[in-house]
Amino acid sequence: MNETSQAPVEFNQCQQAVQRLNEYLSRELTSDETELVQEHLQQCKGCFDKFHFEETLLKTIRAKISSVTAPSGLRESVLKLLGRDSAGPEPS
Amino acid sequence: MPTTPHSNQSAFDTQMLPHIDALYRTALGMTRNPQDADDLVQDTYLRAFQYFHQFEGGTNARAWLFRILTNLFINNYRKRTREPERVSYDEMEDFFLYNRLADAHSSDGGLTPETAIMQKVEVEAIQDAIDKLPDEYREAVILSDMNEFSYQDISEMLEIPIGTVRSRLSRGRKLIQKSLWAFTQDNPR
Repeated sequence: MNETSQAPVEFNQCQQAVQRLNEYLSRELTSDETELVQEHLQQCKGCFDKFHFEETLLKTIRAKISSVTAPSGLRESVLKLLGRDSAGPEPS
Repeated sequence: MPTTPHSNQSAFDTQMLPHIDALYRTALGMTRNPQDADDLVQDTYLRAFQYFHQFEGGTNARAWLFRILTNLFINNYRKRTREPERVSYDEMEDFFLYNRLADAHSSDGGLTPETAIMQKVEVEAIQDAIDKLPDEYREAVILSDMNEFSYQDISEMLEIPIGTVRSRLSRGRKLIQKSLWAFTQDNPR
């Protein structure tokens, strides 16, 4: 990306990583950009902790929300709607 | 009542029915009402069954169903008359929740931010935080953070530019952090 030979200022590196946080979490970065962010995270504990927290938060949200399932009555209503006479095999 | 040959019926059941839980969660998040969620899922399956001949085998059944669901939601369920909510997010910092939890951790030596989230945040708090989001942010957050669709998929489903997906998601995530922080304050331990 940046061709300058001088090491970029730390603050800029943090800022650039933070700007990419949402896309990093959503896996929307190109592989080059992902690598840049990950390189920075290896060098900067402050950003590493924060990014790791954001990832944990997202995973926690996903895991907890997936405990919400369709009511059993809904499954039956759908099957009836689709013209199935019986509910078919019960989910194990 | 739809009629299709039995082989199609069983292909439909095998490919489409396993997604009912994810569809229901999504419908519940979008409509914020169990009865509407029920209706929306039934409408989705009925529509999917009617158009099943157009579904190309081997392609992503889940994405196809979600496309039908969001389309039905936008056309039939989304409250168009609702005033767009004014939310002030400009002042919201990055890492809002992390910073608050880290401060609490260093001042009282309690749980680390990550442990606090895993132990204290309940599914009801997450649902509540999502429910409180303005409609546009809620839809993007549900499709991305609950269902892991790409920005491109979300852009097509909601018929908005990718840049808009990006900004709604960013703001939605910040607002969720604000709600979760309030939840941990109201429910210590």
